[in-house]
Amino acid sequence: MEIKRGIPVSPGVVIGPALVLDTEGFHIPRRFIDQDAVAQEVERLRAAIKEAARDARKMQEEVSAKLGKHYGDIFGAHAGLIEDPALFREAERYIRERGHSAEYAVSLVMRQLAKKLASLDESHFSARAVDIFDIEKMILSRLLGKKRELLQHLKSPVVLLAHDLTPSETASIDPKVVQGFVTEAGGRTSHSAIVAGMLGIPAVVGVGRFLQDVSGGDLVIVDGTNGLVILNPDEETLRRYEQTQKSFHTFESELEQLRDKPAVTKDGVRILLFGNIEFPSEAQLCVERGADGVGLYRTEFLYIDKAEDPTEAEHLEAYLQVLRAMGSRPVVIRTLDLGADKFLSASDGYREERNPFLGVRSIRLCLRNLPLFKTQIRAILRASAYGDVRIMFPMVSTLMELRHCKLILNEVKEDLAEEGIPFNRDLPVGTMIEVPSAAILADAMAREVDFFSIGTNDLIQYTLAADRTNEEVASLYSPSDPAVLRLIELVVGAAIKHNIDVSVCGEMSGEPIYTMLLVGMGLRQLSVGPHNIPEIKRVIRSITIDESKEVAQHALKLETAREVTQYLREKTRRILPEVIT
Amino acid sequence: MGLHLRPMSALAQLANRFESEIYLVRADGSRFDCKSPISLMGLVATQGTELILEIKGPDQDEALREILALWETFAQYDEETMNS
Repeated sequence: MEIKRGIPVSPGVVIGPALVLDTEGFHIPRRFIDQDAVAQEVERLRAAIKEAARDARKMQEEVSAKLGKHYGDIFGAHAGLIEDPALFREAERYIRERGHSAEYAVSLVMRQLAKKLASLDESHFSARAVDIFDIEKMILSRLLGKKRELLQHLKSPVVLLAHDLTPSETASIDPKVVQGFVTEAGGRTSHSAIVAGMLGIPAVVGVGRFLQDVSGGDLVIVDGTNGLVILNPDEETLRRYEQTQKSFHTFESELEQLRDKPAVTKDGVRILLFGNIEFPSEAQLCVERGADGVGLYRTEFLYIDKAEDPTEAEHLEAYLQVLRAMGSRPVVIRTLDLGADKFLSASDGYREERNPFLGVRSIRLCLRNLPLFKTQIRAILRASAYGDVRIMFPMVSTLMELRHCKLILNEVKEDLAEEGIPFNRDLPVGTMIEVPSAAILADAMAREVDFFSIGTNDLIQYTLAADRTNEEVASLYSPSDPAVLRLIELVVGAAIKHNIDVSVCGEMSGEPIYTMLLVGMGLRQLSVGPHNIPEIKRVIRSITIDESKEVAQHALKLETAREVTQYLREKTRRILPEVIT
Repeated sequence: MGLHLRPMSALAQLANRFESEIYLVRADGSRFDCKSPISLMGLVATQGTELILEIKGPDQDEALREILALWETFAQYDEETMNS
């Protein structure tokens, strides 16, 4: 038995026979041709290059449709490389001058290119090398008259071990057959890591050299949760992992069965479970996982990576796309929530701030840039004619700001009415509660809006004055902190008193240990990442309002975050041991 | 992973639309043909590397303008990826 350590990039456990992917990939049958076959060989090369470029373009379309344009464009670039006249010229020279076969000529050219790039001795090389191997394989597979369909043709399940996977290899992985993979190279953000996450198969990357120790067919365990690879495990280890694997599977499949069941407590109280989304395509995920609506539609993607601010039409299309997926279910659209540093440059008059998180961001930025703000509001209003749209303002810290937002909303409504453009005149208006001042003033805020959404991520950060991405102070950042809980209690109390809706949309609501607490504090709406929906639904279906109230009352009496976390873990464990890791 | 491939292939695609010869020249004298993505692959230019853009031909002015515009979008893309 041998244990290797790497970077865990996709959780879960898989046990199976190893398939070692040869880095060379192809066996080249012959190196030389007869002198009178030269012209024919050059033609073969020309045709193969043309076909390989077409293959790459087809791959570009397929991958764009499956994983997005950004990823698909890699293959477009491959097509460009394959068609580069320099490549053809070099290979042609080997055929004409040395009498090499087209296969061998291509292979030589590519090896030389790889060598040249390697001699630049630069960290980018290894990343470019996989692309070179990839295009070499694409041309060779055309020359050899059959595509390299190794991965597509596999019948029985395997664990794939490779030095690295090329983009076309990862894209052709069928998760039913390739049940997990391990690579020597790669990092957390390498494309193979990203694809593993999308396919939902356990994967470990960046293990370092180990392929020389494995033969095809060896039994391998991939522990994608902890980043371990176990070669030829002993009996005891194997049994232990089979157990882990089984409970992981049952848990996952039970969650799947929950899809069409409502999020209702054991004593019959319906909790509305919404999804948080960042991109329009995620709305489908919410539907598939049985969400009651979209509780937080972040709109920053419309602004990031763009040379110009999005137009009203672009906003509208992005909103309608989500509405189409969600049908009659509510969709809460949050207006732009970005720091000025994220998308303004000095030429826009932006001056660097010493404390961007305490500076001009989010609603403050919008209120200083009314054309930008009004464009988005117009689009949200127009979308409201087509479904249950609700608007929500982020980072409101004073009542004046909220009134200012509503004033602008009303102005835009008047404009639309004058232009005769349809919209929902009673569009529900909400505010996020994520600044302590807003939480403290929740009683006053509640009179002016239709709903609250508690953004715990920022609320915690601002309450404890701790940036959770700063390791030195990250330990201060906890949803369990009694100060945070009391603020939430205040906000929920104000909402109930004024009879408006209130939900929690921070990451806290997606963590099962907080479900009982939040429900016990009076929350009847939670908005969580689409992936957390089944798990949180399951917790809701396993609890009663009475016991949740008891839990909340007790937790609110505790004095430190640590005690609260421990208490909540213990309470949740008793009801659903599987969700506590 | 091929992220650098995309700007590279965008540049080659643009360059091939012009008749002019278009080269990027590094301080050490090595020249990279912008019309050949393979040649561009060998171009190692970390931030701060000085590059000279050499364009010669009938449509050189237009080529210069369009390539600089493309360059601008690369720079923006870089900044955004670093900020995010």
